[in-house]
Amino acid sequence: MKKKLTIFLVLMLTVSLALSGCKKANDVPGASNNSGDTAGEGVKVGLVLAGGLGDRSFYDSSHEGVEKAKKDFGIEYKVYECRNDSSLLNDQVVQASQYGSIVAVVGFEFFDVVQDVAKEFPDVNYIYVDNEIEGMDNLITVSYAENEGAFLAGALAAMLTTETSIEGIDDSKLIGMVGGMDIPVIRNYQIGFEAGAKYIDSEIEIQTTFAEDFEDPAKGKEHATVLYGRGADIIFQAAGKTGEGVFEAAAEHGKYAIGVDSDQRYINPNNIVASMIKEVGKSIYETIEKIQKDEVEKGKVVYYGLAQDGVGMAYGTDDMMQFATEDMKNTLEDIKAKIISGEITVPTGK
Amino acid sequence: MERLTKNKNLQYLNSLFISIFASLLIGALIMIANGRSPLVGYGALLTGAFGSKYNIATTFAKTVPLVITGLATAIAFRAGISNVGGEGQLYLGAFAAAYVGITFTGLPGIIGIILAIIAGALVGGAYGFVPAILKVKYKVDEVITTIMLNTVATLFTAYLVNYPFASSQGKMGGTEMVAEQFRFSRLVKLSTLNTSIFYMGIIAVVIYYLMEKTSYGYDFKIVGQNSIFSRYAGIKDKNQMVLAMVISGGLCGIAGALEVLGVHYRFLQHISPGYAFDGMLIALIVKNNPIGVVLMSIFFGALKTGSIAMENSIGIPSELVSVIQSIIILFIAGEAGFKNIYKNWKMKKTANSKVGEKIV
Amino acid sequence: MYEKVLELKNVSKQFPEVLANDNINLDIRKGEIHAIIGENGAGKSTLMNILYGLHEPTTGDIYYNGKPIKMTSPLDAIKIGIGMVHQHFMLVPSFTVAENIVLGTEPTKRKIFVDKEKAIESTKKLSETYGLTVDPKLKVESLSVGVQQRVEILKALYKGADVLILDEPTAVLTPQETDELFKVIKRLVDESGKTIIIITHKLQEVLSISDRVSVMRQGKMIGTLDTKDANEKILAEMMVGREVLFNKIDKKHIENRKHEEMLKVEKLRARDNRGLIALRSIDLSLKSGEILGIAGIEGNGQSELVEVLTGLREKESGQIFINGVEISNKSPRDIRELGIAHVPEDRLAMGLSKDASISENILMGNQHNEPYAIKGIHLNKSKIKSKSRKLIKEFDIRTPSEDVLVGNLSGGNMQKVIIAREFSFNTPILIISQPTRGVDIGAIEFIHSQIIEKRNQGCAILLVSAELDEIFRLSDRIITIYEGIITGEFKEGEISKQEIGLYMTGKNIQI
Repeated sequence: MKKKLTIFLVLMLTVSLALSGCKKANDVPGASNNSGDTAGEGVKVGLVLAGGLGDRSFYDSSHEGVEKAKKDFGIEYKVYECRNDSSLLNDQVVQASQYGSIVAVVGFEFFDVVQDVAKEFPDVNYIYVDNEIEGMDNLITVSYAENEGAFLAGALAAMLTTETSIEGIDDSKLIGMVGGMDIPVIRNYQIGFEAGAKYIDSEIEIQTTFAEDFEDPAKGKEHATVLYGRGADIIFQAAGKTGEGVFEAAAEHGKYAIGVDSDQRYINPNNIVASMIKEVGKSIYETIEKIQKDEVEKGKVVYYGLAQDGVGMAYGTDDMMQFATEDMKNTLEDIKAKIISGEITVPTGK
Repeated sequence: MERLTKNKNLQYLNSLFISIFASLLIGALIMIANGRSPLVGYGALLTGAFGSKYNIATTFAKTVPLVITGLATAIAFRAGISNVGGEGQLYLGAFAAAYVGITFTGLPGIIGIILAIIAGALVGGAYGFVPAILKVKYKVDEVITTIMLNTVATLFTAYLVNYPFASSQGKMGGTEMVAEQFRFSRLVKLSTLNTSIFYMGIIAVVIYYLMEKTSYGYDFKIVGQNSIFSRYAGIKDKNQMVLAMVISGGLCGIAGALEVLGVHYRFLQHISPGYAFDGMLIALIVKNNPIGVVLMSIFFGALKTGSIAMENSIGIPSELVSVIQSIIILFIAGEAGFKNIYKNWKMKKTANSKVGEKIV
Repeated sequence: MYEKVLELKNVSKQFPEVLANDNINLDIRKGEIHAIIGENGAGKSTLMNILYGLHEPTTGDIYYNGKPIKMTSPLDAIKIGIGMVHQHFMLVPSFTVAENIVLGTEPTKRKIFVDKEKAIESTKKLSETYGLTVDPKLKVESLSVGVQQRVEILKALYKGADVLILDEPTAVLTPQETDELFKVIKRLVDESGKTIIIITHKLQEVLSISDRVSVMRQGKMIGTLDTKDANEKILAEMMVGREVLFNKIDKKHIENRKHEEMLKVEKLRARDNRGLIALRSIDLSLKSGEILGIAGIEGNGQSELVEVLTGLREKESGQIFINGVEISNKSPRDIRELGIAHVPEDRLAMGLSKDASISENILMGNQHNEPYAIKGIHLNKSKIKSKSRKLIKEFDIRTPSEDVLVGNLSGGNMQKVIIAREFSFNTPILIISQPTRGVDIGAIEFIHSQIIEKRNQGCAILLVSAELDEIFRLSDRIITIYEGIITGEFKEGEISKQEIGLYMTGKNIQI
């Protein structure tokens, strides 16, 4: 036994030596200094996500943005996922900063971290999506008027909930919303959604619940099932991956849902009537472009509302059955114009 | 007979190392099956964890909450009461510390820090006290109550930071930042490693001393091993269980306070990614040995830091490390079973050759 | 030439830590009563489990009526004709006698329903054939232990056993029941030609009933003799491997010592764990320098009495005085401080932590006291060590070091650890329960002499034991307990073992 153990330990030692020996062979990112050269080809972009890819929503949308930038501008990029682990936020931003000359940071969780790290890498340009920070030269924050987009979603839901010609919809005036968490960003959706619905019909009743999770479809399903059970025909979800549970519940109960952040109709065109889009990808794409052209206003907040086409509605592709009639779409276009012109003021939760 | 003495520990160490090695081996096989070289993979992991000053600092930054929550679980387990509620205690402790940090901003640094840590310990301890009392007075299973109380604590603090204590800056699900003078300084540039590691060191020494060298540690241990024996011999076993749970909860509260004061400088809605659960696994793996908790926490910290680096540099998913950790735990949990299989096999061999010789 | 019904050739059984049976050769003759004796851990039970198919031998062969057999489960053994009555009965308490006997091979009506009539019929026939009277319709839970054992025997016979193994059959019986059992065994052999293997550690029983006796020690078969050639001394020496002194306990009375009343119990009433009355009304008095033995069949309130006296169980009413101090609602710790030490009946459940070392077990009770704990906090390793070593030596605990985990010790050595610890408190009162249960003969001698020594030093000792021999050997005074009341009180030498059995079963009561 002792002999075996000795052999075993020697073996382990050898393996670990071999392992440490080969570290030079690897191209480990990091140490290389970033020149701050932001023009031309070969620019590296680090995309840091608080959650992970595959939410078919917020994070995937930002991924599409950098992917498009790769195609159009020939940048290189790498994705750094934190998978909702708060202990990784700092590390991943640091790693991304060591990799790229542009770092796009997605997620409200990074508020402190991005400011701390940006100080340490003055040559790196940071795009921080979904928050507002001013006064740091290498930090551009992108803020969205979710309330404006949600206003349209609310209006659509209010129009559809009495459209009894659609199977599964009755004449009750109850609609629902499942939010990921009871936090200011999500409340901004909620306030816009409710205002939009009331704009169409002041008698509409809106019930909102929070799943307290952005990553758990099971919780989304639970919450949606409750709302459908109370008689809601249409639910607007603003809950990231959790929202997929809302879609499942819609399919099971023969009810309807409105997607969020990206055009989610393709997930289930029979039950998802439309999506309120938040063009995270577009804003990242455009900001990368601006940085490269040196057109960016340093240290400012960039706003994306209806006017900038940063938020809006999407109805899927043409081959899908359309629940929203042309009339409804026209009404929404009207409302959009009125919001841009200032005729309608959308309340905000921010 | 001689070998019955202390080398139960040695035997355990043996099987621990075999478990770790076997799980690394399985990890290697998974890499090979995916067409990746395990040498490159583990190389990246090792470099990621220890390759530079920054990497080492990051590893140790991850270690701090694991050590404290691991010790917390160990002390409760020793006394025969299961604290699965460390996460909730951590959240409340963290919030309490943040509350002190944003309320008493006029205090000098050291007093504020001590006050914040004490607040974290008291709140965490009180939150451990509740399920302990329910257990010893009304025989309510503490595993279930502590798990439930986790949810209560995380949701309650989520409410607090989004409504009454919501930060005025940005949208982030956090409180305001604690006063400047309460913030621990960072030790290595870019890394979150901060002076809380010294507090951790003090705590580890104190808990080690308490558990291994004092009458109180002895009482905990005996109550955990055989509560009827302890009662028979005059130990108030129920009081000991409650005390152990309060200490455990207090430690988790301190872990939360250190996260606030050292890492985030404010309470965040998701301040812990499950530190207390990792700490619990660590305590289970090392069988509640305080020194083992410290070493295993460093190992876990290194795995986490290294795996992220591995994922970033060569694209092997960091989930692989979760697989490795799970396999270690599986091996340790199945230790007795594996031992028996091995012994039976060995026995058959020896019995055939040695029958008639002396009894062992 | 005798006919060999069972024969074991070179049978060994290896367990992970021990070689439990080492090259055993044994033959059992048809129609004999064969006793197998040995100390605890000598390998008797392993051997019997091999014969009953519960263990497979690692090596060696077994022959039944000259043919080699291989058994992998008790079902094989039953098929072959070997039956076993375990020390702990395997009966279903809520079933009737008949249902228990036919259990597993029930006669059925239309293949679905148990044919109760038929079961009762066959039970009656069976009990008449073998002269073992039982009422087939009674529920087992209402039967006395002796009758339950009879049901176990009938169960084995019903399944066609020709060889019957009885594992420690008298451990739970009164002297009267033991006599009954022996009559039954004799009848089975003489009238029905059955073969009986009886496992025991009581030498007198071996001498009174068996034809031949085999002695085991440390996994080996030491030898087999005809019982007529054996006596207690020879057998004991074979079991222990050295000379054993019997009944030579020096119990000189120390008359010059004052016998003060140390413990007084008045009208004590208490319930057991199930909430049933266990102690109806107990009065007793214990004086310094005496051993008061409590004789009774287990489960008649002895355990509850000891627990109430030591603060581990709440009383319902009555009073207890230690040295004149009433101890109602006092914790075990307070009671210990008032001067009671306690050797509990179940050493593993209550008396020890088997996962702790010897010195940790010895420390218990002193862990907050100087000099073992400096300022009541810091454990003083060297003081603990030296005390442990002293007690290990004084109490002859066989161990390589004080750091050995208690769980690795033999039963006798575990018991010595408890006795060493409790005796070392030097309390004026000692409550000792089952001090030698499962302890080998050598250790029994030693423990008995230690108890006497304590008494001679003036300690008041309350002794509870299920072994009548032990009670008789040690006590200055004996009281009998039956169903929670005291049925008699006797001075040393006032009563015989036979007679006391009547008080233990409530057939006689002193008023």
